[in-house]
Amino acid sequence: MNSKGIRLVTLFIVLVIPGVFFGNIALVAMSLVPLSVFVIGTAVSSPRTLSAQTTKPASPVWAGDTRRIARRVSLGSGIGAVKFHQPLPPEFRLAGGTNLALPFCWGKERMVEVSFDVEMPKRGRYVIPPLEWATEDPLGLRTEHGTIGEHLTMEVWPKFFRPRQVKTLPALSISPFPSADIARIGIPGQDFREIRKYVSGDPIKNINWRATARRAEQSLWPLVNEFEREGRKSVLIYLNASQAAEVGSSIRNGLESCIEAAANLLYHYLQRGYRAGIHICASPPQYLRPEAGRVQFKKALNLLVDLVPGNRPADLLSAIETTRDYVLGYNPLAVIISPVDSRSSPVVEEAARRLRQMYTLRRRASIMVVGIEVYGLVPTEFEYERTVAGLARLSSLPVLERLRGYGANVVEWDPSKRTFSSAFSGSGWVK
Amino acid sequence: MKKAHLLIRTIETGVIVAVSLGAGYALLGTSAAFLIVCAALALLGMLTVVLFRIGTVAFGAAAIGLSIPALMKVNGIQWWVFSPDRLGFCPSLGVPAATAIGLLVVAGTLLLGYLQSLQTDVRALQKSGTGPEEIRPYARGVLWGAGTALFLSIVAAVFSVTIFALLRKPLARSLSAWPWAVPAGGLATFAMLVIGWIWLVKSRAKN
Repeated sequence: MNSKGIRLVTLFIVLVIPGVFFGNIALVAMSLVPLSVFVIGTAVSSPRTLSAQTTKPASPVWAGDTRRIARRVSLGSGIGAVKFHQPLPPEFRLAGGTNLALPFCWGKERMVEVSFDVEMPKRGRYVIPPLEWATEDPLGLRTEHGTIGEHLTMEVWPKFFRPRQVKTLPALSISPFPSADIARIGIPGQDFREIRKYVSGDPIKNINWRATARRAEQSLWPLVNEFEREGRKSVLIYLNASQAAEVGSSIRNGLESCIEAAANLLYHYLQRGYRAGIHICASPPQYLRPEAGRVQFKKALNLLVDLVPGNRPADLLSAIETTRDYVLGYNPLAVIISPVDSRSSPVVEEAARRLRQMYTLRRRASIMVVGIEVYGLVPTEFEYERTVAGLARLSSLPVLERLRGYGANVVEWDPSKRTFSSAFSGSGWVK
Repeated sequence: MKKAHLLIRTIETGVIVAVSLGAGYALLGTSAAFLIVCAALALLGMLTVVLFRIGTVAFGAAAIGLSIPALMKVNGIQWWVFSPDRLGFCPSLGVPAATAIGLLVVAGTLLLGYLQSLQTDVRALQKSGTGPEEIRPYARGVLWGAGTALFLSIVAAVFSVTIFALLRKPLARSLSAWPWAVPAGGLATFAMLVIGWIWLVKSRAKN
């Protein structure tokens, strides 16, 4: 019983007591009006929700996509208003329709549909809770509420370009690897290449025991024969996912752009049969050793979807050290994805320098730096604030030149102005 | 939706004017001062119900309070300020006229309460971004429901009073043998009503 019912009963009592006490028929008649309203309100049953069917949106879902969510609810007999509300995660935006329905029932069973289009602008895992309902009798004396339907879990992937987009980009015929670079992964051939130090993963049968014994006095570490190999080349991506990269809004910021670039590159190389892996400098750091195939892409996507930003950009240098053995042994294309602002630039430079040192004169350095210009993502209200992005870009130009000096191929990407695919397709090797 | 708000405000204004006229007439009849009382009550209603949306309690209590003298004069009882010689300024209404004015005042106050809560709901729905296609059927349903309930209540009240009026004299004759029956019955009814009210308040607090 709510306050409306209490007020009706109070009015009845206030009128009936003097009416009965003084035998006043008019007062008694007046008191019967709120009493009758109260009786009618409590006697009439409000509609009941019986069952709900949910139409699950089509998957997979990429960031920025729009999907339709629909729930059909069957209502039992009853008279009164019903309010349905579908709560949504704060990152979601209504793109069409409404997540609220207000049918009024007149005693017959009926079906009600709550359907709407929702845009999911940010990657992540989301749970859409059940549909909330509230019923009220026509006089507002009793309200009941609850939830109906199942939870909907949705996995939103970072944006990346699909195969048809790749084929239409003319500059992708440029190989990211020079033609003289022979991959170190794949089927070993017959041609002897060199003797080198043993690295975790090398077959035991390749150990050259004579060379190992000869060098035992200097260093007790096995040496292996390396043969020329043909086959899949490898790519190792270093993703700077520190909190320093979160420049912009909660939906569109430097970190999300870094993740989008990483997803794009992984898809691009894995689709071409490369072995691709990723080291994510997040909290906690995640390392996915380069492998080929669709399963590798799915594993990487899961890491990117669940990514929680790390504390420091300097974690990038720890990542370089962690993967030192792999870089030395397999000579992959090393891709650093990071903003090039004042906080991250020193770390990116140092990372490129350390990578450069790992490639000897006999090995051509294969380093790519994807520099994200983040200040364009900051929401601005005034004209002078927009010039800050331009000034920040100017201040990053010396950094980019130094990176090119280390032999890195630099891809500059401003997410506020163009897509990653257009920025990547416009890149070429350092001359 | 602006038209709907305007319609509701027009209905509210009409109800306020009708209730004010009824209560004013019940208090002072057709004397010149009746217009002053009527206008004051109507102004109170416009300010609290239509303009500032404070609530209908003040207007309803004022309207019922102004009607009480004329209603009490119907009985002709000699009690405190409600003695007929002290209520000379009130018109002498018959039972049907007094009942009609009383029903008008109570039903009008209840209708104003429902209209105001409906407007509050509609404003909240509009603020949440709900479109008029969803709001109109909802508002229509609530108005029809409340209006039907009030109409049935008035019919029930009139029916009950008519039956009671018909049975009044035979009832009075049978009760004359037990003079203590009416006070005892009144006290018992009063006690039951108070207990029932306390139970309702406690059950609401528990929920």
